Amino acid sequence: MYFSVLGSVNHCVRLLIGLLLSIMCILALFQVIVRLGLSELGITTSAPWSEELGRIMMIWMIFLGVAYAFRSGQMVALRLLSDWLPRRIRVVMEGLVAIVVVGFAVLLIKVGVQITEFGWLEKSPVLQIDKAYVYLAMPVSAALMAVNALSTFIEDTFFTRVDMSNRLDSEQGGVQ
Amino acid sequence: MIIALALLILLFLIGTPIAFGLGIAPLIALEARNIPLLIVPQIAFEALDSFVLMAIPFFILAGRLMQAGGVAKRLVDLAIVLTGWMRGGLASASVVTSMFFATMSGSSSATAAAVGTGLIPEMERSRYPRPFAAATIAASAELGAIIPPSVPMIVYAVVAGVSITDLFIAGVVPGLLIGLSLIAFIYVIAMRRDYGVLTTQSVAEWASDFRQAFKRAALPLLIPVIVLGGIYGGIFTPTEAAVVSVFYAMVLGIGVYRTIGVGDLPKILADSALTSAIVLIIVGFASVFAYALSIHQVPQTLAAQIIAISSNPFVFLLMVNIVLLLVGMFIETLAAVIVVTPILAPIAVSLGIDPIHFGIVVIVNLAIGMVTPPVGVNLFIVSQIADTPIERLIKPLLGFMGVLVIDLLLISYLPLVMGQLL
Repeated sequence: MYFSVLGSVNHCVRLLIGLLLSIMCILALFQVIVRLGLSELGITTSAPWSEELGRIMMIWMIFLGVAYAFRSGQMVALRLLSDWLPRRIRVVMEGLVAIVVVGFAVLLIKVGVQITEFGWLEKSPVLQIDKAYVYLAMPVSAALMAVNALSTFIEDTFFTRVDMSNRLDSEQGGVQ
Repeated sequence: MIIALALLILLFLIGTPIAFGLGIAPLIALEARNIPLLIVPQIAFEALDSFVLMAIPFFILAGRLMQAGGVAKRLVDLAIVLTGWMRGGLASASVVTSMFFATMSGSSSATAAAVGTGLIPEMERSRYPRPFAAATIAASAELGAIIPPSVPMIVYAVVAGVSITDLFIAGVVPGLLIGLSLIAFIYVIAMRRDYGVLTTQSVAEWASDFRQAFKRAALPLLIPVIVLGGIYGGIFTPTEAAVVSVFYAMVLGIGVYRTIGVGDLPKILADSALTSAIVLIIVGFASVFAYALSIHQVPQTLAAQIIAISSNPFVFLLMVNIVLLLVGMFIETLAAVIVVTPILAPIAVSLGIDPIHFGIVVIVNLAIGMVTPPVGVNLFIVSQIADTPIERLIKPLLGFMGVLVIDLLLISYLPLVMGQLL
């Protein structure tokens, strides 16, 4: 029950980051058209608001995407030792990583809330949106990261889930 | 700061996600200087709030769209006609396809996946041993990071404060050099070990094959013309060029070739967004790490020590190459670019090395790191595609590594030598 609710939340996050990326594309394309199209007519202009909105969406996309990646096991990490070690030591190491990740996520929630509070006093230069709406991406996603990392560790360790591939609904991340 | 470095290594070894290790390790160093931790989100947001970086998700999306749209297959077919007539033709075709695909996608793992999926089985059918086929793909896919557009170059340009356009242009010749030298190496190996099947064809037959393959690949081949021509001609910024190639790839896949349905788009978008997020968060937290280094004056201290060893640019570049090859073996490319650039680029400039040339040296080094174990993205991908353990890829890879290192030395030193002759 718990895992299926978490699954649906993450599914929505997945759709949302795709949506954010598509809007970013449309905004950037709009900017190209405005800049090139209008300069044809002799008007030199640009649409700074589309650029700013795009950057805000990218920040939300990044943080939400990372939170999702903690559920799909796609965060890029070294697996130097874990492949060679016996299962019991591996579980201990995975536990350590889970503690480290959750601890850092809690810190991100704390500093994220702090910067969001400052953000109510600061407006974005063009659109005059409160920067708090940008900074909020950090505490919100960090909360989901903590829940995802913890749930995944508990599920992997204490529940037998044979097929990992169910959770990986896309191929490995990483781009270089 | 040494404790922070030790902590970073420990965190990596137990398997902490790289982005988080880079965010956690500097906390101690910041604490030591009594800097409030609010600096962590400040730096991360400042690094990520960038229109230039937006080119990265766009290039990733464009690459996915072209892969899903069957563009890779068309490029493979053209490359096979181009090099198929000679010894080792099919393996050379994978180098040529990587060069084509590298002009459309910004990353080498995307290139490895797109090129390897079709070509590894085909090479095996033509009497290439599978490990050699896989090693060929892994080595040639590093061109994805060197031939423009390139995600690591975008990040280097942002960190070093140089022009992306200049860096992109400077990547063309090294990319061609590496591509051609790999083809030459494959030719020799294929001759000596009798790899591959030679086809006999009259010139007229070949010409008609070429015309057909070229026609099928002509529309995708316009992408580099639009993107690189647009950036070079000053019409587009790199981000704008990236988004234009997204829409061009979409029109090709959905409208012209009809290989992508509108229903496939949500998955392609979500996958690209996810990959971009995983990459960009490393940029965010690596910036925090770089900030902690600068607070502790590590760049200055290291610079003084390095110059004390030698202030000769040749010796400096040799040291840089050795260090970066080692760094590239273990550390994720973008993280390495962000941490290493603020330390080394100022030294390079003070020794009279052009920052653009130095950027290319850094990128080529780290690109080789993508092919070397233990941590090499390209290796992981081809070993998955070829269903071959990484251990078995190492032997055929050694020759390719030798060629890449020679290329690296040429790329590092030729501009310096020529600069002194002129």
